[in-house]
Amino acid sequence: MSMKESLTSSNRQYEIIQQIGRFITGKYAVTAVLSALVLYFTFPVYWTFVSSIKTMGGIHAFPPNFIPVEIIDPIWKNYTDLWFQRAFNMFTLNSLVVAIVTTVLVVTFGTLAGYGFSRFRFPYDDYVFIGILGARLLPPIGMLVPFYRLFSIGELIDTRIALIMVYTYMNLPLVVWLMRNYFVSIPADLDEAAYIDGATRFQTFKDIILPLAKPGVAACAILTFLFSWREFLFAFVLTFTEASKTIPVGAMMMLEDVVILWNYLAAAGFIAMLPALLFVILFQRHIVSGLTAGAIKG
Amino acid sequence: MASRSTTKDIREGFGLFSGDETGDVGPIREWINDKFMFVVLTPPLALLGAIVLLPTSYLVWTSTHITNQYRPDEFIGLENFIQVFQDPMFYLSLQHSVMYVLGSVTVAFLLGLTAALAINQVMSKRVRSTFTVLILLAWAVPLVVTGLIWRFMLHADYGIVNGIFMELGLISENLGFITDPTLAFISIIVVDAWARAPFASILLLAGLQTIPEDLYEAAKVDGANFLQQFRDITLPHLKPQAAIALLIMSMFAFRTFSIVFAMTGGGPANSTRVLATYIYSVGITQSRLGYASALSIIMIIITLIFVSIYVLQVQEDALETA
Repeated sequence: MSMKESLTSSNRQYEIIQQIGRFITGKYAVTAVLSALVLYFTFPVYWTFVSSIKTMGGIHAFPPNFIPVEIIDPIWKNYTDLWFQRAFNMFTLNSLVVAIVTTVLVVTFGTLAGYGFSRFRFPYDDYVFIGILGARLLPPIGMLVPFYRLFSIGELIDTRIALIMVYTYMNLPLVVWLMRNYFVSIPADLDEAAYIDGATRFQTFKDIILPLAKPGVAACAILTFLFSWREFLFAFVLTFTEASKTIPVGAMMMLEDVVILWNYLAAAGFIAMLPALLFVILFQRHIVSGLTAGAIKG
Repeated sequence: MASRSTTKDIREGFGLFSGDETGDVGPIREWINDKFMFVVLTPPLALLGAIVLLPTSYLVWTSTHITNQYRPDEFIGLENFIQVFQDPMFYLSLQHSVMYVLGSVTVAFLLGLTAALAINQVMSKRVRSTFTVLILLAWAVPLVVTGLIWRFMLHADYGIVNGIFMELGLISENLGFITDPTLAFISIIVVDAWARAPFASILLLAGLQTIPEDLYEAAKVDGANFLQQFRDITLPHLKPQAAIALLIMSMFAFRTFSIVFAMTGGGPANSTRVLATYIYSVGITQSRLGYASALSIIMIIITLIFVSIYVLQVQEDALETA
């Protein structure tokens, strides 16, 4: 190959690459890629809802109908059946109580500790802090056996208290970590200015720093609520009756029937994902910032 | 941003402003003021100590005992651990876990990266956040529901996935996505990636948005095309975020329980049994708590390798930004 030929061929390659580049950054290609991805990520959510308002006959139709033409009358029968005949009123209550109590506990303690770690130094504080991060990163399944047995000994199996304790274990380290990073981003000069003005430390924390940390607290509260609401493993192992079963466990129970009641299962699944869907739509910014801060800064 | 040194100066300055200088306060308030560090740190640390250290030490205790319903606890030293290393099911589930992590993290990362790059191309802020919401919906679904609903969608007789493939003419008869061992493993990986990709795209999108716009402007002036810009600007700048995303996703994929349990329960014929579902079946189904504890400890040690890489990485980042 002569020098000239090789030059033109590399020029041609360059042109092709440039054309491909122009195409995949072009408006239409980006739209097409995004639409395909959105379809892939949202379709199962849509399908859960559609299936949740079908009859068993509609569920078993093949090929399936994309639009629920055979929806039942009345349309919400699956939901009312779950609610009144399958104890989902209890499961919903349990899920709410557990998630809300956990959130209050975790956010209160996490905010206090986060502030403490951001403003004070004590011996081995860095090690304690890294230990907290480590506790968050360990796999919960590893703690299944000790929690299960300790709760058996303490006769806390099948209570909401057991779930609240486990979810506090799983979420508190993350919130301590997030809140500490949040408080670090608030200049300590502000604390100093408040002291000079005669504020006590508690007043400084409550009136000056905490209001500034509100977005961080909100992100932590949303994440803790969602993580507690969606948890399945411990809820499945530690609960036996309506006294403490949560919605994800209720959804899984549909598999235990002789015939799997997919229409009930879809309805239960939709109830289980509903708060998360609402939170994501309403508080997208908080969730995104919480997730990225929790991942990148810790 | 408070730098580390300023924070430290302020901390040392605290002594100057305590006691009577803080104004007219009662004895209790004064005590709170004096010991504010203890007031904010003691309750959370005590709680953490109780709910983290107690189960952890108990885990170590049970792992050195034969512990089941029928016999009194009996100390057997490291026998449980020796047994683990002779257990073919342990190696099988570990192998599955590793394949699962590699498969699902790769797929999820590529999906998340594509989504992040595409969203980042969108100029309008509102459209961009709409797409972010739509992609985050998958993240919002509880993992056990993800498993259950995909199990339904992949059903051999009336699943929508078979329906779609059929209409597109890709298959001539329905596939047993959950009942065929190979297909079942591929299915759980794809479903896991579906649940994990939104998280990757959120992290990567955050990374993309920190890249200064003028770098691209300069590159465009120099005549660099999209692929060149991607290789020379985007990729190098995205590296830290990509590394952390991959690490976290691996840690979380390694511990996967709910998706596998809901989709296949470990079957067919153990083909999708991973470490987490093995620990569950040994500890809870068979009530061999001591043996399950030994398995748990080994799983935790494997995770600790990831954790220490992660902590080192995060510490470095923290020092850089300090």
